[in-house]
Amino acid sequence: MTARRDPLEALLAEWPVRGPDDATWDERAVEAVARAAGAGETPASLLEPPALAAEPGEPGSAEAPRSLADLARATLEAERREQQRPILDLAAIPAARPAPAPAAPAAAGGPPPARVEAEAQPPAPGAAVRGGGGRWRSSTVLAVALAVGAAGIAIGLGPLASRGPASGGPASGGLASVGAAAGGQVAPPAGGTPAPAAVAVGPQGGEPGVVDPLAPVPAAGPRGAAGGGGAPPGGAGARVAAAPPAPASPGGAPTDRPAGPGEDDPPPLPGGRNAEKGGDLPEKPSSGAVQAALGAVMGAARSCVAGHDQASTVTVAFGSDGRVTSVVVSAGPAAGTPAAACIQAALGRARVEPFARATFSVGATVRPP
Amino acid sequence: MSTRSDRELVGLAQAGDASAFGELVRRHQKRLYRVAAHLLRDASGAEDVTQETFVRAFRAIQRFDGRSEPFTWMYRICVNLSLNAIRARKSARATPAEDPRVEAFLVEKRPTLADPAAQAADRALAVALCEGIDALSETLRTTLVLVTIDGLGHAEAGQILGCPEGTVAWRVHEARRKLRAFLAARGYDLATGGDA
Repeated sequence: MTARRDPLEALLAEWPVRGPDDATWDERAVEAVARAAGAGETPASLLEPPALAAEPGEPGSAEAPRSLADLARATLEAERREQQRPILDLAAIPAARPAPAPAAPAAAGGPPPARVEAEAQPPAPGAAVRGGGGRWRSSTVLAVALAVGAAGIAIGLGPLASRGPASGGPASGGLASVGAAAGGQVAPPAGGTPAPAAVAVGPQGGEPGVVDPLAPVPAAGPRGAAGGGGAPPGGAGARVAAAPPAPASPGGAPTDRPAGPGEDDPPPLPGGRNAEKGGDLPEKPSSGAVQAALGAVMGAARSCVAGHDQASTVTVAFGSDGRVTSVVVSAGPAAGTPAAACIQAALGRARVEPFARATFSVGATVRPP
Repeated sequence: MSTRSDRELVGLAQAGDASAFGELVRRHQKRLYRVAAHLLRDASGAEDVTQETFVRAFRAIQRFDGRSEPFTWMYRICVNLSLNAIRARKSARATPAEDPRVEAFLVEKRPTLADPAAQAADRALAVALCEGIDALSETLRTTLVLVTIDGLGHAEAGQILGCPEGTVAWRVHEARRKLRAFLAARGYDLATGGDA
C-alpha cells in the first residue's frame, strides 16, 4: 500500500478564497499606493508579533516548566504555598515531625490572608505528588538541589543567555530564569521579542479548581468550562476572566499607566522564598518600575482594543519573581471578549525586578489606540 | 520591474519609488487576501484589511530593517490588522451562506457539479471544517491558517508570530488534533481517510 497524504491536510492545504478579478486587484493596488502616500502613521504595535495567548500545555507555557530553573522555581513556589496552608492543614501533620527550620515560625503564626490562599495555582510538576509527613523535607531537598543545579547552569550558560534565539521564546526565557535563580538578576529576553510561550498569565479555561486571585467575587465559577473535555475550545474569549467592575483607578481620568499599587496587597511572607534569600530585595517594585514594565507592553495591549470606543480596566498581579501571575480584564468593552485574552497575552509579558512581597497588584487602563 | 526581488523593491520604495511598492502590492495582495479572508471569514473585510496592510506597510517602510523577508513583515501587519478587526467587531461571524471559504471550497477544491447529492455532502463537509476551525482558539486558528492553509513554513510562521518553530509545530499539531476530534464528532473520519 502506498503512502497517502493526510486527508485533513489535503482538504486544508491552499484552501482558496475567491477574491476580486484581476482588473479589480489592479485598481486596488493603485488605490493602496495612492492612499499610502497620504499622511498617517503606522503604530509600532502593528509591526510587532501579534498578541496571542499561550495555549494551555504549550511548550514553555506556565503548565510546562521550561528549564531546570523553572522547575526549581515551581517547586519553591509550591513549597511556599504549602507553608501558607491554613492551620487546619498544619494540624494534620504529625506532632512528632520536626518543623522545617526556616518556615516553621511563619507557618505557626496563623493562617495567611484568604487572598493569598486563593492565589494557589495548578500544582507544579514535582510538587503535586507529595504526601504525608515527608513532603516538606523532600520538597525542600529537591528545591535546593534544583536551585544548585540551576545556579551551576547559569554559571556555565550565562553568556549564552544574551545570545538566545532572535525570536526569544522558551529557550531564552529559560536561560533568563536560570540567571534569576542564581543571582537574583533577571536578564531581559534576548532579541527583545518575548514569545507567547513565556507568558505566565492567569489560569486558563479547563483548569480545574483554579480560583481567580483578583476577582472581587467569591470563588469565581469555572471559567471557560464549556470548552472542556474533548470538544474544541470555545474560542479565546472562553478563557477570559471577566470579573465585575473593580475599583481599579480611584478617581482621576483613565490613563494607560498603572493606577498605582493595590492597597490590599498581602504583606511580605516571612517564610517566603525571597525572604529566605536575604533582606536585599525591595518589599515591592517601585511605581516607576511597574510603569516602565507595563508601558513596554501597553502598545501591544492597546492594539487589542483597536476599534473599541471605550477603555477597558485591567488588574495586573506580579509574583515575587517579577513575572505577571494574572491579568484580569475587569471592566470595559474588552471584558468577556477575545480581546481580553489578547490583553492578557500582551500584559503578561511585563516583567519587574524580584521583590519580597508574595504578590503585587496594580490597576491599569487600556485605551484604544 | 517584475524580475526584481522583494528586497530590491523595498529598497526602491524606501528611496521613494512608489511604483516599486506598487509592484510589491500586486505581487502579494492575493495571498494576503486569502490569509485575511480565512482569519476574518469575511470577503469584504478581508479586502479592506489587505489594502490597509499595504498602506500601513508603505508608511512604515523606513522601519523595515531587512532582518526578515518583506513578505513576512507584511504578513505580520496583515495578521495584526485581521486580529484587530476580529476583536473590534461586535456582531457574530458570518453565516455559512455568507462565508467565502465555503463557496471557494466547493468550487475549487471539490468540484462535484454533476452530482447534487455529492455537492450537498461536500457543502456539509466544508461547513463542518469551517466550524471546526472557528471553534479553535485565536492562537491555534491563526497558526493553522498560516501554516496549513497558506503553506508557510514553521520558521516563517514563527517569525510572523514571534515564537519559536517548536511552538509553531506544537500549535499546528494541536490544532489538527482538535479539528479532527471536532470532525469525528460529526461523523467525518479524516484520520483514516474516508468520510463516514
